[in-house]
Amino acid sequence: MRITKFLIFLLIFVLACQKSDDVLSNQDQTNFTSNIQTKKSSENSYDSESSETNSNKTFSREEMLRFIVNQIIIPAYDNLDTSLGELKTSFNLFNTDVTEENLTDLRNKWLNSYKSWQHVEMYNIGKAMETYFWLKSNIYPVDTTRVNTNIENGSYDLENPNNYSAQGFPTIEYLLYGLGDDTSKNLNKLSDNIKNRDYLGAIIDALIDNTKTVLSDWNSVEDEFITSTENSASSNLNMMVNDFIYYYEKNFRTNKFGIPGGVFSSKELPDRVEGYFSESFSKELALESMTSIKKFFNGVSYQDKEVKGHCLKSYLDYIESASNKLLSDEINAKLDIAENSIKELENNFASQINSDLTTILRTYDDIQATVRLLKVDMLQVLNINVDYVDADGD
Amino acid sequence: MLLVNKFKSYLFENVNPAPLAFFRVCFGFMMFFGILRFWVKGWIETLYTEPIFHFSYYGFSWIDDLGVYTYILFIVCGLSALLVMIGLFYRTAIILFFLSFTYIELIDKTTYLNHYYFVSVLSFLLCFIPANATFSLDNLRKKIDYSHIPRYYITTIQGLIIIVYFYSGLAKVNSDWLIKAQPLGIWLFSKYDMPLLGDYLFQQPWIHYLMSWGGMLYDLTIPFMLLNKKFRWFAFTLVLFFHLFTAILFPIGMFPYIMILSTLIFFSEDFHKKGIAFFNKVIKIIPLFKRSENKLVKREKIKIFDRPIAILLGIVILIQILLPFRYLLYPGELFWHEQGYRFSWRVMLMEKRGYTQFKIVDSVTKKQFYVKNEDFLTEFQEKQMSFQPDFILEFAHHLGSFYTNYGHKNIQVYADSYVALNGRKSQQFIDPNINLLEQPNGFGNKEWILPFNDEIKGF
Repeated sequence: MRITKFLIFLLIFVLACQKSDDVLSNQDQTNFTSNIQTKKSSENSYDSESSETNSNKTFSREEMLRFIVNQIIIPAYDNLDTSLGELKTSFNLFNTDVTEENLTDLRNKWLNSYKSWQHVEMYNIGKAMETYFWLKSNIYPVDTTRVNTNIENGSYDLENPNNYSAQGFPTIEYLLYGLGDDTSKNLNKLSDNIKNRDYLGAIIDALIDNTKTVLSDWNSVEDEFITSTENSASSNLNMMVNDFIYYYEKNFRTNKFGIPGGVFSSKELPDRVEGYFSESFSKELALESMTSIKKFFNGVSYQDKEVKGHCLKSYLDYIESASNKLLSDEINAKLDIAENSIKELENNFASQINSDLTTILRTYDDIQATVRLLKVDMLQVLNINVDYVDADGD
Repeated sequence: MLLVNKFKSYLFENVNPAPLAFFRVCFGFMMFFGILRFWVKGWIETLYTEPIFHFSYYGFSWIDDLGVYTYILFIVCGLSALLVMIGLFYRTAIILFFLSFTYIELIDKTTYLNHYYFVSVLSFLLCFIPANATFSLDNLRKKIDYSHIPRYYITTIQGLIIIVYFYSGLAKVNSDWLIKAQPLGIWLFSKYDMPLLGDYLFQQPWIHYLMSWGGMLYDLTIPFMLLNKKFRWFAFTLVLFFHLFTAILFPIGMFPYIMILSTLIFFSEDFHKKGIAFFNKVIKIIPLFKRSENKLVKREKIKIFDRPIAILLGIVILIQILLPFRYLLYPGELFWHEQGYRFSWRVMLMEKRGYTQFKIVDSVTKKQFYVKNEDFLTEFQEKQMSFQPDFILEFAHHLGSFYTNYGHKNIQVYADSYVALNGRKSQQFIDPNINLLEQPNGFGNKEWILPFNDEIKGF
């Protein structure tokens, strides 16, 4: 009897309290919904309707994924695909007419597509992860011995993990810049030895194929992808957030700055920089990468920086709506500092390391300052685990 | 004095051993199941045999995993739990269980959980408690079935459970828990994906407060309601609701079920007799056991009072009462420095995350480099290490000896560490100018932990 009374009391209490709380967070939502323009929303009325009703009460994580997929990931892949197509056209021209002028054009197209690449490397999820797309596309330093063996043999398996560092953008760079000491010597190597050009063509083709595989997968899974927003190890939302942090910490901070700067070794390793053979693009590539980081965090469309939508920043702001000092502002401020710090470096990080190591180490520290904000503060607010440990807690 | 005498005669009164027997069966079953679950989930590998480095409890660094023989440890642990359940060679079995289980727990403190500690303490107590007095195969083996035992054996177990609840309730009496509804606020908010409750109810601040205060009151009062005959069933309903609810909400494994079955020890003799009668019915299905009971010699009111053991049990309980207060010996905020945090039934009190990197410096050439934690630690270990000072120090010492063996000279180890607690912004945790190699392991106050920028009031 006593128990029944208690349960009835509890029920009444819960119902009574539910009515008074609807006001919460309404004003937050209206800001975003007006901005979000997704290309699917008109075709898919059920989805947009359900998310709209949801967004009256809570932040729509589905809208967030939708924006990231539709406005950032897919356009970025489209762009990579296009720029690789141009690279291929340029290569075909060069292959039939090996001139310095055509080499210059080929190099430009390489740089262009490499910069596009900086916008997709972060999304090591789904098909990209399954096919080791990142590892096949941007592992540096290049294993030049392996590349030369492959060229000599004329037969190789690019799916073999040992060949990951013998393909992708850095290897293309090696073939375009690193075969000879200067442009004319490099040109000679390419013109004299058709095997060199064959390999170049083959790895460009592989890159194009790999990109198309991932891109078409994104186009086919996007609707399903964005519904996976639960707070669990296997949800797309959590994997995406973890991929972002991983990218920032490993691919961006460690690979582009930390390892060549000697942060993890007893001496600096300038030959480990990105853009090693071209000797002038490390900074440009790193800044491009920084742009992609900022766009992801702040929910800025890949193509049009005026188009904004749900993203980590708005998610954080939604949760921290009561706070007067927003974490997202702090993160953005630190990212700006890091970006400015990168701008002050030499174009070629290798020569920066050789001439003035402390400057690049300072840049590393500026980048590092955001790592803890992402890994500790942001993940605390979102209560997402950085590592999914299969064990009990208490 | 009268009260003391009354209590004394209460403790030494002869009672039916049915509650002990019932408890023994439940405990043995849960432990066997727990070990089996641990094995099936592959945790023997991921938590014990695969890591190349283990975080040790101070003074127990000699305990290590046994490589492939670790499985034997688990087999011993599981089989002894089964023997405890059926009450065969009980004394040997429970001692083996206590030793193997505790050994496993001592391998790596990364896996520390309060309920594992609870199991260790409980099984230690059970080594001295004749839980095989009745309804055990030992009765058949020895042809003795005790009808009475002194009550203090039961009271000891009840006492431990009272301590667990009461202290975990007391620990919740703090400003973060009650005034800020943290960490439940963070945790419940993130359960937005839970059916029915998640997308609305758990988003509401009032529910965070309701559950914080409710949890605190539950822990503080439940043992006393269980003691009182009038409230017992009501209390047990709450026990069921509370533990099943937390079992759904949080990844806390076997703990809720262990507590639910453990609280049955508070029930009356009659309840446990019925329970045993039920077990008997189940067993009778197996033909082998049908006739066995006749062979027993019933003996009334056997005195198995043993003064040293009674004193020992008392001392263990006394230690349990005092140990949680050892944090008072350390200055600063307990949640921050965690000196005296473990072994005190502080459960679910903190949402704490850290990011800790180590810098190895050659004190002569001033050359330096950062360590990649993942070269030494599993993700789980790195996560736990990042916000617990004793882990950080132990790992720093390990790095020191590793790089010295590796040929580096004049090594210094510095930590670059940031920690966030219960929704606060992260803050530098370890003094970055302190060479951790010069700091001793042990129970001394760790002065190299930077002070907490805030205050948490309460226990």
